[in-house]
Amino acid sequence: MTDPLIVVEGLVKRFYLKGQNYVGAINGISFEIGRGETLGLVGESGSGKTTVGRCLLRLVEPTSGRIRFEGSDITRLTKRELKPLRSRLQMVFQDPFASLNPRRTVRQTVEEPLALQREAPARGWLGMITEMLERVGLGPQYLDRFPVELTASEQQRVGIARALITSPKLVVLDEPTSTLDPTVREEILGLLRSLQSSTSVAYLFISHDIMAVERLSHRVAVMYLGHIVEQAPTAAIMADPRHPYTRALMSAVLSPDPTRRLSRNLVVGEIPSAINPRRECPFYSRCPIRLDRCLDDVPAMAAVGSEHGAACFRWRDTSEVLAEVASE
Amino acid sequence: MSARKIDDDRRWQHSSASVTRHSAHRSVTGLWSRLSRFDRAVLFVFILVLVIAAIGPFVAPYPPTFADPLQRLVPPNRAHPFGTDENGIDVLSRLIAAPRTDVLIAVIATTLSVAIGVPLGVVAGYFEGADRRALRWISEGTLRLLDVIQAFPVFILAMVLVAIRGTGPVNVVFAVAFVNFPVFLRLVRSEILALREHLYAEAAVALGNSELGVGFKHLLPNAWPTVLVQVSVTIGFAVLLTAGLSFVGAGVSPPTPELGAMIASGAKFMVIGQWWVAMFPGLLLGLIVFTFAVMGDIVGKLMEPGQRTIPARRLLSKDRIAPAAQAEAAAPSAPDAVLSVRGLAIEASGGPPILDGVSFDLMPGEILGVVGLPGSGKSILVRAIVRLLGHDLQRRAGHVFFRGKDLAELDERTLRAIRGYEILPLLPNAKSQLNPLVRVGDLMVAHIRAHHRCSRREAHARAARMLGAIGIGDAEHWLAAYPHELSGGMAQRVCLAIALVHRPPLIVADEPTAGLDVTVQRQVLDLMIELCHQSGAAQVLATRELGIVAHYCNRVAVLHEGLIVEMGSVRDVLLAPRHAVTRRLIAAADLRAVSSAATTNTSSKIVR
Repeated sequence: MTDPLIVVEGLVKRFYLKGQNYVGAINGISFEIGRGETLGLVGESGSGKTTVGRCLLRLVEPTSGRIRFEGSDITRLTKRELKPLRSRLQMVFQDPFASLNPRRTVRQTVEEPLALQREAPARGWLGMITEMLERVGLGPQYLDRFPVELTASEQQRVGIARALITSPKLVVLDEPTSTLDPTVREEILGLLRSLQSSTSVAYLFISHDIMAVERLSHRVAVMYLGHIVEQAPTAAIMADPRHPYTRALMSAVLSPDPTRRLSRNLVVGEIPSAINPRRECPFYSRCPIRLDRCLDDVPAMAAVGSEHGAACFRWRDTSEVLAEVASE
Repeated sequence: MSARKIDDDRRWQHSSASVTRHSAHRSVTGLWSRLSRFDRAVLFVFILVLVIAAIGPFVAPYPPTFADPLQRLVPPNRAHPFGTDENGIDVLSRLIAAPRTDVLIAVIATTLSVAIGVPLGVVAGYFEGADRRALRWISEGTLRLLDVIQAFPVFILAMVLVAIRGTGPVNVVFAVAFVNFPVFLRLVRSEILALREHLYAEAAVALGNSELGVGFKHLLPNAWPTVLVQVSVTIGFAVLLTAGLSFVGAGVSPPTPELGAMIASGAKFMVIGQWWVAMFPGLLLGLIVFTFAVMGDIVGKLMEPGQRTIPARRLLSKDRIAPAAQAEAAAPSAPDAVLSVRGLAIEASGGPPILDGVSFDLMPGEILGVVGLPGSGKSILVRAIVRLLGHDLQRRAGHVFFRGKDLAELDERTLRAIRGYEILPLLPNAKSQLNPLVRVGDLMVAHIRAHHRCSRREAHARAARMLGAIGIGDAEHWLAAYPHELSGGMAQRVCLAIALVHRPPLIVADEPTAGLDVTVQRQVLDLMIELCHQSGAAQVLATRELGIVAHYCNRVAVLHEGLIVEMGSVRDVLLAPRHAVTRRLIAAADLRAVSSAATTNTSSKIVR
């Protein structure tokens, strides 16, 4: 990829507890996002995916690693140097209602990024806000409404308008559709996609819903317990997932077609605690096809294809091995 | 959580109905309509007190300091309705003039307390536990200082302050302000502590607000309602404090008309029967303090974010109900049905109907999925069956027959005996439904023993086996755990296991897997269906995910605007939908249909 917009290298975030203990939220991950591209970051709750997004905006301080965004290393900037960056790097949050200040009107909410950046003259703001609202499908009658007066879909549209009003280069979408009804989910995903094609903004789309990620992303990274376990262009990963966890996520999705047989749930249990992670394959405890060597060694990212990597020792024949296990 | 969900539903419902929005909550009449008759009376007295405080001395029948030596201690009569005091001053005139002093001192002092306490509270709250040590210390230090100030009784402290600085209104103001500012500091601090956890606080940081910007611009406005309630109560208290200081001679001194001093001068005549001198100022003082305290509540009510007024949207009319549903409503309930709902109509008090005559029968072992657009009332339907609705939702018509009893007509006590034992409600966010102070093991043992005669030890062993059966390993560890240690999926499974001890013939579930990860969702659903099969329980399952309906339900009912618009076997409805709403739901779900890779490989059991 030529000149990526953001490059994350060896990002680590630990939350220290009492004594020597820590939570290994992110354990050294690396990825890039190109201009106008969407990278989907999938994983269960507890996988550390939300922390990645928050590190990118420095809402939490990364423990180590580098985040290079348009030439500058975000992790090294002071609070003051960070401020001008905010207009180019924005975020849309999971719960649309909770992420809006209940005592601010739509206009006040969308205006705030402009007021903080002071790049455009104040008399042009109203025009910019109205235009932005129109692009997310809200008419000028919404300007003076409060969040409680909006539906969930309208609230999330306001959230998106707030993020996009300063024409950012990258927007972190932190589960923007997970609390929404499926009918609304579809609307919002469609909106995000059309906004991307008109503004060539890049997205980091964080979600636990692999199907939503498939709809919006050019590439997908699957996260488990603070590690990226598989990364590939969307079509490649959907057609040929190599990590057992990626397969598990896909097979757990319930198709609305009642004639389709339900595939067996491959992975039991839940994501283990991230306190003091041991040096072993992070997926070991739940893996249906684990080997003894997975206990001794963390599998490195194996090159499945030119842009497709999977961190599993058995990546060559995952699907055959899994089919065997399932038929037992 | 659950209340929020219902609220959400209702919000959806209203907005889906293209209602013209009245911004009534921002107009005066809208505010007025929110007050009860009592509130309005208090408001009237409050305004009266303020008016008297403003113009009192000018409207009094006699000058408030005019003493007539010939008229000393005259009992109430026509010329002096409230009598005169020992100097021959008209008590009524002094009463009318006095509130000015007390209320003015109280208002100024409270304003001062707010001006000091609120900003400090924002800083202390926002920086508590901050990363930077200096900020943490400021916050800690402020709180310790408060502890010292608040360790002294308020009145004594105020007296000491006045004693040091000397009496007089100005010093009373400072003393009262000083003893009250910690109230505001603590209040604002705790408000900010709670508010800063909100997502919009993080959003504000992400937009580039400075830390103090977030505290003052985003969080403080949301704390104002609470602060204003306290302001009103504090003014009342400050009036009392001012009067108290004057009563002991440490405040405003005679001849300035002031309630505390008036009570003090009249107190000695109480015992000899000249009650009017102290009695009337005492009553007035009580009334003023009471009025300000109640005004706190009224201010709180007025500051609540307004609810839109919603004009009646539609009326219950036969022709709106689909013919099939009408037939079912008219039909007698099937003799062997576990649950038989007939013409159930639910409405928000004074508002539009939310369910508009819903009827269906549920056979033993049958699993009925309830789906619909947001706001269609699916969650309300499930909750209405077991009457788990908020106070503002009422049943207007219809019956819910369960084992020969009409649940809709049962008294609350009988219903409670059925709910949780014979009918198991399964709601989202199971964690919040477990008592946080009871260990998982103790809870399970209690339920097991309520149903089976066995020793604690046997019950414990059985609980451990149950945890194993629902896929929770290391049973002893989790039996000793408290609910907050469980993950959402575990908590939902524990709830299921506990409830199924009672082998309920009916489960009513509202989005039981909302907020759980897909892999965990599958495990919970598989378990739920397996346990249902074992015990032969029937189930009503409201969900937004058609995928769940497709694989875990036998029949499906599509709700729209409070009506069942389509109902039938899952295959019939999902493969050959007839109603536009059903088609829309399928279209939305279809986009998320599984791509080929996930389904080609494995296949084993079908859970149906």
